[in-house]
Amino acid sequence: MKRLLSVFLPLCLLTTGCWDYRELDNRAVVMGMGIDKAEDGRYRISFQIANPNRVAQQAGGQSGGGGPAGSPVTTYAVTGSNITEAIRKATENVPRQIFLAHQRLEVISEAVAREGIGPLLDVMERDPQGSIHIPVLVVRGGTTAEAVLSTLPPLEEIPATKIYDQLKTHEEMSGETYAVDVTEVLRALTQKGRQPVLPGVRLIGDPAVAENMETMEHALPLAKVKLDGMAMFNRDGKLVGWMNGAAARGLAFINNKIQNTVVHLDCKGRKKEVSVEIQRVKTSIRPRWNHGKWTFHIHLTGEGNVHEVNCPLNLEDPRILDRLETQLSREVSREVREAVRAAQGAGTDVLGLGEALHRERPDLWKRWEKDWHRRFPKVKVQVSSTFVLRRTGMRFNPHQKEQ
Amino acid sequence: MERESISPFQLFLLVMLFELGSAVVVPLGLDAKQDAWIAILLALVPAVGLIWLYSFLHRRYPNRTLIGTLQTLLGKPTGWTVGLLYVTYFMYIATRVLRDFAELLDASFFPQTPMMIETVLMVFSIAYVVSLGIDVIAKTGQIFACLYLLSLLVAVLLLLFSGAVEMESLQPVAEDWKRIFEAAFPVVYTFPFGEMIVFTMLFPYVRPKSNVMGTAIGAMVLSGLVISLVVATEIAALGANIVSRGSFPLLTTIAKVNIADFIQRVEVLALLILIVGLFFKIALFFYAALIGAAELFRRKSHQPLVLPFSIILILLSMMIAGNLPEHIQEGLKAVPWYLHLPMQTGLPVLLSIIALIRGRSRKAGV
Repeated sequence: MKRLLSVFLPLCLLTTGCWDYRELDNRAVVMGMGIDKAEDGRYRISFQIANPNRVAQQAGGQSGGGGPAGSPVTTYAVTGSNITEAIRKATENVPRQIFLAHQRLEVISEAVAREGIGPLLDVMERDPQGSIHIPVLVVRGGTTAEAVLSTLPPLEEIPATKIYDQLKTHEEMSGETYAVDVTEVLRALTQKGRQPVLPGVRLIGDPAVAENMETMEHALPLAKVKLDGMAMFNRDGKLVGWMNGAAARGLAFINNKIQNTVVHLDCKGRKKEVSVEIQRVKTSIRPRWNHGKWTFHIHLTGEGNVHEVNCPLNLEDPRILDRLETQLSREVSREVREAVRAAQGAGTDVLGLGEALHRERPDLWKRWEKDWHRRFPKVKVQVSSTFVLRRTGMRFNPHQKEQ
Repeated sequence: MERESISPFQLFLLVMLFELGSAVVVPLGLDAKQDAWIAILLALVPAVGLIWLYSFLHRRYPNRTLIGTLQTLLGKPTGWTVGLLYVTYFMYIATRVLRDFAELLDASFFPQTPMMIETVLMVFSIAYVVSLGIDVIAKTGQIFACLYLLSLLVAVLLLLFSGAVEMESLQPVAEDWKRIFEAAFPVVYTFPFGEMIVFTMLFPYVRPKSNVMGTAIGAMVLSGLVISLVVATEIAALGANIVSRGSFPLLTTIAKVNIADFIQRVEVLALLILIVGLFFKIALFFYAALIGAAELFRRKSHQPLVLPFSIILILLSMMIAGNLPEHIQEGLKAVPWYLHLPMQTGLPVLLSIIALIRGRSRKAGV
């Protein structure tokens, strides 16, 4: 028995391998997925597949010369009733097995979003290749997701990666759009106290030339992809409206997504002459009972630094800073109010007021939950904020003097 | 009984590996929604009493396993029959955990691999360790406990640092006590805490006998806290709804780790936690069944039983359910009520009462 084991045990280690192995050159690595509406009402799904030879060539500093130049990605579009069908159907065109684990993002067209994103989500959370943690974006302005996905970017190799990095950077530096991944959408859709939002993206320029390699040869790109606003969804997962500019940032303030952003303040009657960088923003939403009805208090706190001053202000004087703080708080509150107005106008609680009520008063929420979507547009919201200015950069007073 | 021994520290680690085992990989107590972690802590309270009960029996009969105690207290024929029930019970639970293991591995990492292959490989390594006896199981446990607990700690820390955790998801705290109570009893109370019944087969091996109860309770409470922390982290990262619908929520949660686009794709931690934890859980149930059977049939060693029992284990794990939902539903709806409660709580309570009466009548007789 012992001898038998001593033969079989090592054999087990040596002869077994990975059953599910798949060589890398048999995989088509999908970087991004685009979802459009096909003419027959089904989905038209485009897969952006990295072209490994071409990407490696670029990464190597183009020193090798020679070799076939070509696009770093290939986008295949397939029509299917759902994502699973499309992935399998893609093999009609793609010589390799579709591999989703490296997918960076998913882009859906506005038409699809208006019809509802629900049907797209299941496969994303069920599939073990796991696209559940990737961000989703909505295309604005009637362009297709396919066009956005295939716009070749300057500075980066792969369009999907470019949009992903762009989204992350914009979230960090401005907050007007921020990444929302599938888990967050699912979380919002599975409860009544919050509805989902998704960042918007827009193709500027001519879609016909966007996918051309030539785009990259111009210093001024012929076509580019721009982040633009946040899409609001209702509880059925249907797109019902957009938040733009100030409202979009107000939404980020409310949802605690602001990491660092800049607010411009007026100075001595002139518009936007003082720029303040703000960070460490914390927002709390508290439902309070006063004057016979429930009011939601949205309160923001944060810190700021003076970043640019084009106006003769005596910044050595703490009282002037106090005044700027008040101005800053007022400005932020205004943006937040705009977001509240936009959300109530669209009739969808993308602010998470219901969630806040659920947290504070679970008993009341139980009664309100059922018709929250009817109550939300009429609910009273009060916004206040307290910002503290900490520093003024490398200088105190600006070089401009009072005339 | 075989002449082997484990130290209290080894017992501590084995209890931890055993308790965490499958409890940290499946959604536990999620009927209480965001309060699942409270349900786990709540279930821990009576479980401590249960261990006290087990060690009471152990103190009365310090050199007997559960099988031996049964025969002493219930008399030969009855005790023997009930002992056989316990051996079957241990085998069945080992089978269930084995099935959990193969199903989760298939669903998450090896979709093309037949479940049979994973099962056979796992049982092969378990059979090897188990045939070498409790000494070797305990030492293996010592080695793997470091790796295991470290992975779990790293996973939780990475999640906290990656900013994926939103504590607000845990609010409102203690929303509905009725719901929490229903989640805790009987499911969380019986699985994983009540499953400590398996250690009544191992207590006699612990040497020195200084504080078996303290060690067992300490390890169980600590594991309970860890499970509660892990479940709370999962809910804070994904929300109670996604966790409750997940077959392997730990994996989905760990996949969320992304620190500066640099530390990411640490799913391997979840795989490690799954394999190591379930290995020890199956091994301990299996070992308990083996030594129980050896004692019942008066064998000197359990080794000749390893091969036939392994085959039963493999085949049974394939046959107990047609698909994963069936397997899980049985585990949630039927097993806690009809198997766990009587075997973990009912019979031990009965035994303790008999032991008390006997002790008293013996004293009265003197």
